[in-house]
Amino acid sequence: MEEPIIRTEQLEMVYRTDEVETLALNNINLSIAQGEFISIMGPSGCGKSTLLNVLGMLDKPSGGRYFFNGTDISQYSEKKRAELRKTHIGFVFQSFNLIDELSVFENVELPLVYLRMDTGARRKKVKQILERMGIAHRAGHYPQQLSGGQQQRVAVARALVADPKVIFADEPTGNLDSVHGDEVMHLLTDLHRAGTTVVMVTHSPHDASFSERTLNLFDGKLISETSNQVKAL
Amino acid sequence: MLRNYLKISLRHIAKNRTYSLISILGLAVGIACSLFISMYVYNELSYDGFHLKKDRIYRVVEKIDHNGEINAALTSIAVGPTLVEDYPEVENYVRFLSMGGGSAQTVKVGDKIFRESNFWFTDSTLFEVMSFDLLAGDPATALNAPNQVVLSEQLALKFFGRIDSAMGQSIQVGTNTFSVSGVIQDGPRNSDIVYDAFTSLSTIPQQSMQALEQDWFRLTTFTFVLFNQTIEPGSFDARLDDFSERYVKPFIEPISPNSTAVFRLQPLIGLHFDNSREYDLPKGNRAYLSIFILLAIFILSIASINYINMSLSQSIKRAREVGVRKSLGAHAGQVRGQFLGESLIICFLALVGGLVLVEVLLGSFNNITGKNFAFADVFSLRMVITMVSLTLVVGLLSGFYPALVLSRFEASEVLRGSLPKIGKFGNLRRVLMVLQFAFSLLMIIGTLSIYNQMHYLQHKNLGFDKDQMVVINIPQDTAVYNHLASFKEELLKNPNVLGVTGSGQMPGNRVGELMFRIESDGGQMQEKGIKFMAADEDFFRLLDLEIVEGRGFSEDIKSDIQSGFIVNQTAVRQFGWTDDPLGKRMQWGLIDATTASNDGKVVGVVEDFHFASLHNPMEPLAILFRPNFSLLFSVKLKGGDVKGSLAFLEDQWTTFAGAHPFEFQFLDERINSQYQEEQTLLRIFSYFSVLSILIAALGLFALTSFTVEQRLKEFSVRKVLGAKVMDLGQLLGREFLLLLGIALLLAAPLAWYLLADWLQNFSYRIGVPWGSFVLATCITLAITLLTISYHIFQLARANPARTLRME
Repeated sequence: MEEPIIRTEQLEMVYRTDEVETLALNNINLSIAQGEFISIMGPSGCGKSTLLNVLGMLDKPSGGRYFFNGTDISQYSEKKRAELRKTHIGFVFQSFNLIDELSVFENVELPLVYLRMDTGARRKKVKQILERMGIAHRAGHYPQQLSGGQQQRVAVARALVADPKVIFADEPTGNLDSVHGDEVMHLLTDLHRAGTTVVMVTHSPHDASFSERTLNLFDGKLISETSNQVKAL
Repeated sequence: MLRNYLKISLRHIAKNRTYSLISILGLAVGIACSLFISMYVYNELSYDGFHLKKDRIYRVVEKIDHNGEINAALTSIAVGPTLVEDYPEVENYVRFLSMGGGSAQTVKVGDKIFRESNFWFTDSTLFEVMSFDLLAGDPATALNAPNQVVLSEQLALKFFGRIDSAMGQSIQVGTNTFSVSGVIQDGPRNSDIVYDAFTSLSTIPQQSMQALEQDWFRLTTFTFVLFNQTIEPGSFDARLDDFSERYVKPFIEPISPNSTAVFRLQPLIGLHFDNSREYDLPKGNRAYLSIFILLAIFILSIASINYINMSLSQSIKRAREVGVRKSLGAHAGQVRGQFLGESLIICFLALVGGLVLVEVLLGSFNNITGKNFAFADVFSLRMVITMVSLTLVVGLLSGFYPALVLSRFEASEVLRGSLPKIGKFGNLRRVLMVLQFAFSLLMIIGTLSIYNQMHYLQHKNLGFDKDQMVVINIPQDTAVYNHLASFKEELLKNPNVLGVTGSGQMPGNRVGELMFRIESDGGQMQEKGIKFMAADEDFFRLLDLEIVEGRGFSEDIKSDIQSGFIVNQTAVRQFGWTDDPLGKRMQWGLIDATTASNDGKVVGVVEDFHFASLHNPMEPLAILFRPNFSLLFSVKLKGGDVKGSLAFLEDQWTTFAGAHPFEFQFLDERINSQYQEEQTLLRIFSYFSVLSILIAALGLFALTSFTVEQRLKEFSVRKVLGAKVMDLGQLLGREFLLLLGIALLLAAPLAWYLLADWLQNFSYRIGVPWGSFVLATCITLAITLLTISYHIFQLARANPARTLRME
């Protein structure tokens, strides 16, 4: 059997303050195959975003093991995780998180800048992805000049531009109306079809229905897993 | 990557205009101060460093003890040549004798007359020992014959219009005629040897020269010697003692067996900071140098700290950007690099601002320091290196901490919208704010108090009438001096001239002291040094001085000239004349134990008036009757057409004195010029007050921004719960008022101590002005409230719902 792109064993995340210790993730064992579209659901505070941050290598787990592409990276330093992030992972956030001072083109270009790709190749790539996302005509605009839906398209373009293996999306439709929300979900589905692994945190059963499989989290534990009938588009 | 950083930095700076401007302004002020001070320090440290043989040039100084010690920068005239003759290691010498003892000289060029200073009799070896460049003439011959003069470029142009046409022309200084044998570059700004002309020393007549050469106790000459190699000055002491033994002892022993003369060497380099010798040229002050350097470091540090506070307050806004960059694969080092770079950009912008400030304020700076810097001096190699390294150091140092803080933000947290906490060092920030407040208070209190004392000095009743009085200078080599009576008569013909008095001295410059012998109550005579003035009979009437006993001088009583004295009331008191002072015997021009050239009696007592500056207590004064030796004419004008009256005076002057320039001063200005040092101090304090207020206001602004950003949520919640703008203002202001209070507690005693000490310089002074303390506090308080009102206004406008949603 092919090695899953993401696999965890007894993954734990503990937040400590002076007085309390919060177990945000408790003994999480999961496996995500290359090319899967997974959604993670659960009530507020159940640990969805924490899980996404650990899987997305923004946070280091407190315990357990995390295999990415077969390698245990649970003890990787911030620098090594950063290296891995920039080559393998793309993020889409609920609040878009575009940099206000940069234009659409420059925002999308940023991951390639960190990859130190040369200017010519970079421009070509950014242009392609903007066209693919249907926002090429907005390349020179700044985030605050765009609608929410357009901003999220830019964010998705930015997540995709470096051809990551996995896209992590944290409530990608949370700040959008239903029309724009669906647009984004269709985008993600397209990506998935093209072979990209997508891991998405969501509140919305509607959004979750776009994925192949839903992991249900409660109080930091993985309590169930449901398989979805993928929407016909 | 770099381009990306640069782009985002510049856009961030442009977007947050207010904050960027304030940061840049603060740093620009700090950098401008540092540049000024660097220029000053480099200039001071480079004094006389341009002489090629500087390492081998030493100044000889002479300390004599002849009924009292004089530790002089000068020597007797024969020291230089004798040293060269006796010691083979002394290769050469050059001597400088001031012409006219430092006061202005009358110089005649054709039919034009000028008044010039800084003329020196100098040896022909000048150009062998020192490195002054001749623009015309031959250094080997320029000063080797009597009656030659080498003019500075500026004087050559002034006298003859062109450098080449000056050569061979003649000028007359006093009774000597000189032929121009060279034109020398204007004196460099960093030399203690300030000159406008060098005349050949051989011009001094043989007879006078011999008299000077024989007297080892006549301190007349600055003597520089050139050694054949660099030596340790102390290593030559024994030989100098030997020298003194060989030449000075045989000379002085028959006259005064206990008198001694000790010679020492001083290296040319470092001479600028040696203030230990009497009769020296104006020198630098190492203490000032240290104070300036400390001040530069202090101001620059404060500006950097304010900048750090400001960036920290802004860093919260940048948190999300950091999160995004990290999620895209940037590691902490890259984030640090980016923000350090941004800080460097800010600093380079501040450097540009600093340079603008330097250009704008250069005039005032020159005014205070007495230097003559041009804006181009800022771009000397040394200064450019200084400003670039300064900018790099400040940029890196002040960028480091914010960069570190920002790079530590957790992407997972900030992207979820939770605000990072950067509350550490809160107490340090408060301490710094207290220091900034205290410094401002000190400066403002200082400025106000100095101003008060100056006002007091300028408006105190001096006991005489100083208004509408023009004091005309009458040099002895003018025709006016020989026709005083008719000059006076002509002046009095003008109805606008209310009166004229001739005198030797007038209030506003130093009054000399003569050795007198005075009769005490018991009848015996005792010697006393007493301040004196010489005046004609109109002196008392014109200055509105009351003769309280006896009479004034009279032209009709011829004996007054030889034997009439008028003394002031303080003299009567201090001489212990309890019975009638009139008729008390006084002598001056003492010849031996009993006789004197002037021997007479007190004919009148004048009320006390402040003939000296108010630094001094009232002292005994003797006034002599000298109607024919007036060096000054004081003319009392009727108010109104002062310009016309002055034109009349000048007209009359020209009629009598020909081309000799008309030199005059108003008496009140002359008196105020006694307080020049205090005026400079007042200016320095004023500038530093403005500077310290500016810096403290910037610091306050930064700190308030920081507090507001950190407590934004709290303020928003309060607002939602019904807090009014004033409530928020109070909340914000309370802490700063507390800090200001602490600063006042620190600054007030220190200010009191320093002021009380400074006021000791004046015999007539105000008490420590508590009003200044109150006013200074009010000013600082007002600026504090004004500064934080910006943030209160912003808070008032902010929509709390938005802030809370972001949380």
